[in-house]
Amino acid sequence: MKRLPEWISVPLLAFALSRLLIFGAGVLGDTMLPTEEGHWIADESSPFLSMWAKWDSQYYVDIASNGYWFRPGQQSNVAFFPLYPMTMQVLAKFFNGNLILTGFIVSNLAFLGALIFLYLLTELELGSDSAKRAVYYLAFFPTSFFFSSVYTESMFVFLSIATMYFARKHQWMWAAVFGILTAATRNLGILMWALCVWEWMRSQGWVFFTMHKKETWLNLWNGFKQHWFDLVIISLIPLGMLVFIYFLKVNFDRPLAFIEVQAAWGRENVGPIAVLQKSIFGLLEGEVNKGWLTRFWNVSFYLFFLTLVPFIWSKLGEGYAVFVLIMLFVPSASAIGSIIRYLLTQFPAFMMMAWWGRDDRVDRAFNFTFATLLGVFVVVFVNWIFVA
Amino acid sequence: MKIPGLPSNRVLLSAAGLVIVAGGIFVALQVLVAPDQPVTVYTLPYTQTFDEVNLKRWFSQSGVWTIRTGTLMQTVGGEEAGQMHIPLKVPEDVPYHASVFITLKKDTRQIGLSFNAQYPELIAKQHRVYIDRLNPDTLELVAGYMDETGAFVTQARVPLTVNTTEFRLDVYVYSNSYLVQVNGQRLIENRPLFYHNGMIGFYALGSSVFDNYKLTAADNPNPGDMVYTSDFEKEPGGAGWVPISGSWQIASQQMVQSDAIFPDAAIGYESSTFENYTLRATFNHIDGQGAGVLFNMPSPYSLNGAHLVRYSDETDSVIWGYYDSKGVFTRQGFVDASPSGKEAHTLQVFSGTDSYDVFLDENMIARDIPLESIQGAVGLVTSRSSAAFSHVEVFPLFGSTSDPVAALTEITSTSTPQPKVTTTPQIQATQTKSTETEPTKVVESTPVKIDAVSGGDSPYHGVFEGKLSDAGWKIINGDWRFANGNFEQTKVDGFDFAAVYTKTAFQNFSIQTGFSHVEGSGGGVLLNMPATDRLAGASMVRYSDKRDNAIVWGYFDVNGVYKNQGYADVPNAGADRHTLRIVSAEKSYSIYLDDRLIVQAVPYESGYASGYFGLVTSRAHVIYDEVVVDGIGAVFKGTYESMDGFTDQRIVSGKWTIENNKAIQTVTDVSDYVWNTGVQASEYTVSAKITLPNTTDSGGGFIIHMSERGSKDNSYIVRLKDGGKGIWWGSINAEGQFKGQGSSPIEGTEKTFTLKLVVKLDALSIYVDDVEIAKNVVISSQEGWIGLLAYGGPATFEDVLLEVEK
Repeated sequence: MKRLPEWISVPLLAFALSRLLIFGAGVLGDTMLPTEEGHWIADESSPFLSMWAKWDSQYYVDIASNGYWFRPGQQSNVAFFPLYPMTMQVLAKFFNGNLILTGFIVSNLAFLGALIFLYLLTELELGSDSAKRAVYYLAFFPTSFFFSSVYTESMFVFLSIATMYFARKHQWMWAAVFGILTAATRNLGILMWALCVWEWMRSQGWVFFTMHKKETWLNLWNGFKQHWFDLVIISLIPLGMLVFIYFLKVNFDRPLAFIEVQAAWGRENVGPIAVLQKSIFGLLEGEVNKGWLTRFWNVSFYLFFLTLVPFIWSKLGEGYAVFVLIMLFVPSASAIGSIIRYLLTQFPAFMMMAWWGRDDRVDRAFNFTFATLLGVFVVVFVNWIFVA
Repeated sequence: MKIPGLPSNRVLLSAAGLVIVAGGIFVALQVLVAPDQPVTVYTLPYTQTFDEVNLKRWFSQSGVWTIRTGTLMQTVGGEEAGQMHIPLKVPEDVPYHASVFITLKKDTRQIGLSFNAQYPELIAKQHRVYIDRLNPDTLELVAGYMDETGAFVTQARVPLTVNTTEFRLDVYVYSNSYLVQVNGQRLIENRPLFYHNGMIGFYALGSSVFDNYKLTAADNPNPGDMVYTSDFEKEPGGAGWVPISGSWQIASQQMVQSDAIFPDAAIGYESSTFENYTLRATFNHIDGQGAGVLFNMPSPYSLNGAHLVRYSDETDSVIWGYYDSKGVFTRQGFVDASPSGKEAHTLQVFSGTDSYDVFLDENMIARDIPLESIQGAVGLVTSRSSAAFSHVEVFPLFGSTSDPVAALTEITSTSTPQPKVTTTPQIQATQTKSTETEPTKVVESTPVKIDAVSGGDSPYHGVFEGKLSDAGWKIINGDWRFANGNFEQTKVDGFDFAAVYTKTAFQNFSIQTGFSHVEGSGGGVLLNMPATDRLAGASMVRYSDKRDNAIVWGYFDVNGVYKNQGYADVPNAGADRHTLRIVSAEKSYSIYLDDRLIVQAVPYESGYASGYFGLVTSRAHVIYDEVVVDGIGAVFKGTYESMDGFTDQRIVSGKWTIENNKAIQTVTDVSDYVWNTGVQASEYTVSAKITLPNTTDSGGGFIIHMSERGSKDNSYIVRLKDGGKGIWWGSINAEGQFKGQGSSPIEGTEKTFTLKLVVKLDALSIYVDDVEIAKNVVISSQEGWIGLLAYGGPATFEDVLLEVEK
C-alpha cells in the first residue's frame, strides 16, 4: 500500500493524537467535575458538542442564526468578522441545521488544513524535521483545544499559513485568494497583505540588511517595473476586510463599528507595555487564585513568545518577526487576558520553536510542558472557567 | 488577445477573479448575515418573564443589566440612571396597556418604565413613569417626558402612601393621553402625550428588579369606563345583588352579612358578567374574620366554579382559590396577614387573561395565580364571620380579547333561580338598571334642520331673566326656572333633566358654564344636539350622579340611550362653584373643569359635530350662573395667579424650570427663549416681577399675540434689554426677524423690575414698576398666545399675574 506523503501523514497523526487527548480530557473533565449553573448550553442534546462552544462561540452562533446587529456603546456582534460564521451558516444545511456541530466540524477540518500547510511552509523554510516538530508543537500547544472549538482560531491559522505558503512559492494569485479570506476572518488578517508585500519584495532581491545600498532599491525598482501586477494582485488582500467595512457602512452607517464596540468589553487601549507592566505587578502583588493563575500563564507565554522575536528575525526573516510582534502587541494593547489563545495564530513562533527542538532536551521539554498544560487547560475550559 | 502594455490576460483574469471573490463575499454577507430591522413591532399580547432573553440585542443605556432567577436586574448604583429598551415598538396608533412588577432594593432611588421612546433617540425623546424614593420613608410617583432641551419635564408628582417595596406599575397609553396605576390604584390620569408610538423600556437609578412585563392592546380607546360601582348608600340600595347563602341586608349604607356562624355565606351580583377587570371591595368585620370576594363566577347564584379571595376564618391569613364544578374548594395559596380587627380593609383582585393578582390594602400579596375561569359574575363572601361591605367597584383591565369587557345580562323575573339555602333573603333586589343604560323617553317629533354657525361669529352670553322661552330656552324635562339672575333646576328624583337653547346651533365653538350643586351631583352640559326636543344624538358632559368626584362624558344614541365614552376622577364638587368648559372642534371635543384640562380629543361618536347646546342635571339640584358660548380659541374671563394655573403651558425654547411659583430660564447664551402660558386672549393684563442676571446684555419680558403656540414667529414682544438699562418693543415677522417699534431707557441699576402690559386687541400699554412707559401702542394683530420671554439667563419670573377679559 502506498504510504501517504509526509506532508499529509504527519499532520494527520498529530491531529488525531492531539484531538484524542483533548476530547478525552474534555469528557473526563466535564463528567468528573461539577460545572457552575447558569451558563449557556450550546447544544442541549449533546454535552460533548456543548463542551466546545463557550464564551465567544455564542456570538458566532448568533451571527450565523440571526445576522449582524449593532448597539452603539454595547457589546454587539459586529465585533466579530464574518467568514467563520458565514461558513457555519452555509454548511449547516448539511448537518440538519445544527450550527454547533457545523462549527465543530469546520474548526477541526480547518485545523487539519492548518497543520498541513504549517508542515509545508516549515519544510520550505527549515526542512522536514523541523516541519514535523512544528506541527506537533502547534497541535499540542496548551490552548490548541480552541482549534476544535467554535472559534475562528483554526480557520484563521489555516488561511494565514496557506497565504504565506503560496506567497513563499510566489504563487501570488493563490496567496491573494487565501489572503482575502484571512482578512475576512479576523481583523488582524489584513497583516497578511504586509507579509505578502514583504515576500514580494524579497522575491525581487530586496534584503533588509542591505537597505542602505542603492543597488537594493534599484533591483526593487526593476522588479517592480516587470512584476508590478503581482503587487496589484497582492494588494487586493485587504479587500477581505474592506468588504466587511463596506457591509457595516451599508447596514449600520458605521464602517468601523467593529472597532467602536471594543470599548463595550471594557477594553481601553493603553498600550502593550503598560498592560504588561500592570500584569506583572499584579502577579507580584496578587494572591494566588484562579485569576492569578490565568494571568501567570498569559504573562509567561507572552514573555516567552516575545523573546522568540529576535531569533525569528535572525532565522526566518524580518517579515515573520514583525508579524509576530504585531500579533503580540495589538491584542495586548488593552488586555493580556486572552493572549495565550492569540499565540496560536503566530505560526512563525512555532516554526522557530521547531528549529530549537533540534535539541532533544528542548524538544522533550516543549512536548511535555505543552501536553501537560493542554490536558489541564481542557479540563478547566470545559467547566466554564476562563482560560483565554 | 493580449492587450498591449498590460500583463497577460491570465494575470488580468486573476485580478478580476479576486475582485469577484471579494464581491461574492459582500453578496454572501448581505444574503446570509445582513441585519434584521433593529426595531420590529410587538405582537400583542406580549409577555416577558425574563427566563430566556438575549439582553445583548436590547438597547442598553448605562447601568449593568442582567437576568437572574427569572427577573431583570439593574445591579449598580451611581449617579446615572440605567435604561434598557426592548427592541420592539408598539403598533402604530394602537392604545396599549403596559404592566410590570417592580421591586425596590435598598439602594433603589428611582425605578419605572419609559414609554413611547422614539428610536433612535430613545433617551432624549421619551415619556417616563417612575417611583422616586426621596428618602427611606418617602415615595412619590412621577410622570413626565423629556423635552427638546434634554430636561425631564414633570407632568405629575403624586405621593405614595404605601409602605412596601414591591409594586405593580400599570401604564395605559391612549391616542393623546395616558394614565398610571400603582398597585391597582389610579394615581395619575389624563396626562397629555408629547410623543406617540415608540418603544418601551426599563428605567432604574440604583439597583432594581423588574419582573413579568406585559403589553396588551387596550380595547377601549378611552380610559376608565366604570363598569360597576355599588349603590349600598342609596335608598333602596343593593340593586342586582342576590343572596346565595347567609343573611344579607342593606344596613347603615352598607351590604351586611350578619350570620357569623355560616361558612362561606355568599351573595352574587347578577346584573353583569366581567372579563379582564379589577374588582375592589372595601369592608370591615363586625364579628370574627373571614370576609372577601368572589369573582369569575359562572353563575351569580352559585359558588360552583367561582374564584375566591378572603380572610381565613381559621388563621390570621388571606387565602385564595376556587370552587370546582361540584362546589369543592381548592386553595391555591395563602399569605399570613395581621388580624383584620374591626377597621376597614380593601381587597382588590386584578383578573386578567389567564391569571390574577391580589392586593390587600394596596399591598400586593399575590400575583400571577392561574385562573380556572376567566370571566363571570362577581360576589361577596364571609365565612364564619359577620362583615359589612361599604363599597364594591369593578372596572376594566384592558386586553386583546374581542369579547366585551362587561356584558349586561338581560334580567327577567322568571330567570332568577332560588338560592341554594333556605335562608330567606332579606334584601329587596330591585332590578334598577344603571343610569348609563336607562333609556330616555323618546318624544316623537320632526327633527329641526340644523343650520349651525361658528361660535366665534355668533357668541352667546346667557342672561337669565324674564321668560325662558323669550330667552330662547326650552325645557325637555325637569323643573327649570330663572331665579335671581341664575338658571336653576330643582328636581332631584330623575336622570338627565335637560333644557336646550333653541335660537342658535353652533359648530366649532367653546361653551363655558359656571354652576354649583345644591343637592346631589350631576350638573353639566349637552352639546351638538341635532334636535331641540330630545336628547337623542346629543353629546353630554356632566358630573357623575353617583359620586361628586367624577366627570363622565358620552352621547345619546338614536334611541336616546346613553353611551358612556369615559370618565375621570376629579376633586369633590361639594357645594362649590365650578366652571365646566367644552371646546368643540371639527372632529372632537375637549373638556376643562375649573380651567384644568380633563381630557382632549373625545371623538363625536354620536355622529354630530354641530348642533344645539343645553344644560343637564341628573339626580341633582343645580344652579347655573354663567353660560357663555364663543369661538374655539376663546379664553373666557379669568385670572391666572399661580404658575400651576397654566395647565396648558409649553416650553418653546430655552430651559425653563417652574418651582415655588416662579419660572426660571437658565440657558445663559444670549438669545430669545420663550415659555408659552397656554393661554390665548385678546384683552387682558399681564404682569410679572422679572429678575435679570448680572450681565450687560440680558433681558426679559413678554411675548404676546403669538400666532402659533410653538413658535415666536408672527408675534409681538416687549422686553427689558441691556441688563435692565432699557426696554423695547416691536414685532417679529414670519421669518423670525424683529422689527422694533419703540424703546425707552430705564434709570437705575436695579436688576428686578415689575413689567405690566395692558392689551386690548391691537392696543398695548406698557408699565415698568407702575410707571407708564408707552400707551396705546398699535400692534399688528389682535389676539394670540401669551408667553414669557427671556433673553439670556438665568432670568426669573415671579408673581406672574394674567387677568383675561376676553
